[in-house]
Amino acid sequence: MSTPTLQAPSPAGTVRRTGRGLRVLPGDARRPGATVTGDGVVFTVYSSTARRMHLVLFDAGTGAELATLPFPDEYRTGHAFTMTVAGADPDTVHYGFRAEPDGAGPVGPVLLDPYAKALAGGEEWGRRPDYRCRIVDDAFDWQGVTRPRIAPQDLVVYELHVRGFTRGRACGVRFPGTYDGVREKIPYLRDLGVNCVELMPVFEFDETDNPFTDPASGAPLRNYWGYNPVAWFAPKAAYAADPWGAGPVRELKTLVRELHRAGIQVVLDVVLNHTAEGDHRGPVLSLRGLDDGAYYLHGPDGSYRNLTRTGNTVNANHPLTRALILDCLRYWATQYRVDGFRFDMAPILARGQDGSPLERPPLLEAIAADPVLAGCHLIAEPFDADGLDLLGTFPRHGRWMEWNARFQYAVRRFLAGHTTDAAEPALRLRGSPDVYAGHGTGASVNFVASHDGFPLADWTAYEQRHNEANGEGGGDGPHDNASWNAGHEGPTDDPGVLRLRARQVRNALLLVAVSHGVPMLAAGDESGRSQHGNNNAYCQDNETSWLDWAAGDAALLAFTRAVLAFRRAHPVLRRRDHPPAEAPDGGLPPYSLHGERPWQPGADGLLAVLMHRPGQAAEPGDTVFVAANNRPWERRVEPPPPPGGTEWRLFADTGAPPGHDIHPTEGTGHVPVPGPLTLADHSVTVLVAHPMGRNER
Amino acid sequence: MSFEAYLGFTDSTATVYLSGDLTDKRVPALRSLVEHAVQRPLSRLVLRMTDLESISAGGVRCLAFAQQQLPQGADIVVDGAGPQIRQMLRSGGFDQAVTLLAETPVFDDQIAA
Repeated sequence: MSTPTLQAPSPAGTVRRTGRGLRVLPGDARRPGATVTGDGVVFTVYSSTARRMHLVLFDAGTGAELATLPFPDEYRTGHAFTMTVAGADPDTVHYGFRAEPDGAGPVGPVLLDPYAKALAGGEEWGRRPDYRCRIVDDAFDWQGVTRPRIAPQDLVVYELHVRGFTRGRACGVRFPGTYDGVREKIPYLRDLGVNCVELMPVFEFDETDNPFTDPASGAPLRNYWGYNPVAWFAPKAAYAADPWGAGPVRELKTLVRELHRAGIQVVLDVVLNHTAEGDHRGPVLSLRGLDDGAYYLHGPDGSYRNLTRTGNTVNANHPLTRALILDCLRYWATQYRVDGFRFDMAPILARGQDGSPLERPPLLEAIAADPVLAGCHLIAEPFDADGLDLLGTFPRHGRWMEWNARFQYAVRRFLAGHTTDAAEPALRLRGSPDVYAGHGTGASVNFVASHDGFPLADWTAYEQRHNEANGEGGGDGPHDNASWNAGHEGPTDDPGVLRLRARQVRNALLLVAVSHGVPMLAAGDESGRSQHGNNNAYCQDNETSWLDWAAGDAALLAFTRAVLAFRRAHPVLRRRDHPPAEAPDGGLPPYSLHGERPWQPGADGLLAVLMHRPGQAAEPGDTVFVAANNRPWERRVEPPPPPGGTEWRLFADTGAPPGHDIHPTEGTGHVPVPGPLTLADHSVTVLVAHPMGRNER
Repeated sequence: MSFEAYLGFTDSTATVYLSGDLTDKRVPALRSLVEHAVQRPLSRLVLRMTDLESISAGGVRCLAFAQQQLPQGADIVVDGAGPQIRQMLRSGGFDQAVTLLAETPVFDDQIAA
């Protein structure tokens, strides 16, 4: 098929005519991507390695190439190829670029615009995509809805996968597995008590990009999680109920708007450490063809550095890449109004152009200091696949928060009985002041389970990974899960084992909820979601991963709602600064450790913590006592005396049967605790000091 | 010489046999084969060019498209390409993304099959 191309050179600034009614005018080197203006569409792309660059226009309906337009040399500024194309209807054409490194003509692959705001060609989930860039109109009716402002220590984060959240049984939404499906579940999220959803990757990715097959059926496995971005500015089209045209952009913005209207923030899990282009064997989709050396790390022999175990590593602190990443974050913060980002393998962003960690990575500093991002939560996954672990030492610049894996490991090990020493979990409940000294409790995102590893219910049911269905012989996924199966591996009818597991799930949820820092839950853990022992379900686009709304544990869900409401009601659990262990005025310390007897910490397998916040002006005091017994026997614990004028009341006792483990702390049905507690084996009890004689009905 | 192309599969290897002169006019035929091939989970795409006389710019673009369509980790092997075709692949900027072989290879999995 022949396509029209420009024929004769013309002086700078004059209009050039092409076939198909297209006219070419000067562009704007300061506007990367495709921008609709009054004159037409401005196309700009940067490349220091291309001698010439060509714009390829496609028919939006058929995908057929319509025209190839070279960027005129006289419009070029430095390494910026730019021009305005008049007569190109944004609704009927798609586009891409062809770089010409050596003057041989536009024979290379069609490259995606790194700034493409939407991609066509990937609308159907599970079908091999044929990507092209869309021209997007950023206008959207936000209906006057403003962002909720929530301080880090007040957040309750809920991590979810857009598809998996509503793709399972009995989800009860019109469009399962979509942005719209999540929107329909907003009442559920509100009722649960979370105020921030963290969306697993929603940048356009190719789920068919997985070489492994189901060992049982031979069917290809999907790259379901989506940690392989193709375009950093484009939403995943196949997640939209209407994946065509402007549908995905509109639908994701609508989801953000409606979450905001419900008082729920949105954090995006962003993968900026690698791309779907892989190593030298991977597809040349975009950055590789435009400026390979600027966007990716290479070894001395020119091979791709593979610090992410995905094939390539983004050269994040190269100035060109840094600008791209900053522009990307600003775009999502302004055009989608998201409230923050969780950075996958964030230490990659702290590496220099030789791959070694930098003391002051310019990118991280720039993100932290960026005025547009000033209101955004910045959450680092503080380790990468090459073993660089920056937990506690991640360059924070007063802004960055971290997924606190030490919290996860310490709480897991303690509850699983792998240690009887409560010293470390006591630090974790305090907001990890040993790790985040001077940075406040909000630096620590506390969780026991996330998308990585076992779901919470499986953490209580499996000691070994069971990943055979992933097609890698069962050897993938983390080996050490700090888990305990309560005496039997996997499913069982043994009531004793089941009772223990139910306790352990509640123990973990309760400790996360009463800890200083930012609690995070993985979707489904509030109702007992299981992956049947698979601890690396990245490729399980099926019932293993999807939330089964019919199988939810109603009693556990009620428990979770109650503990999140408890956290909301008690500011002593949400203090911004790490509570000191000494009282400034000789009264109760803000944070104190105890044992079977008050003020005598160190009891084997017993974590007993008193959290106290004295009354201030109009605000009453707030005091909570937490006791966790990880020993397989019952024990007697005497709580410290409550503050004057208050009495201890029972809020939670996970040793009680499900459905009887939560109690109102006010009004009818409250349970006073006048004396010592009896802690069941493997259980957690929470008391609250309540003013005597108040709110009694 | 007229262009001919056909496709064969051995386990996870797809082999496209090309012969004659691949002109822009015949590119749709090749593209159709490529689109068919990449719908299956492949670990390798072999482009057998021993009898390919020439390739047009559109043909190179089509091979670039094939390279984009393969999943990460899948290899493209070009065997028997003559100097003119090799130069065209280099011009397309993806000679680094394919393995160029002078002779027809036999892969272990093909022997096993």
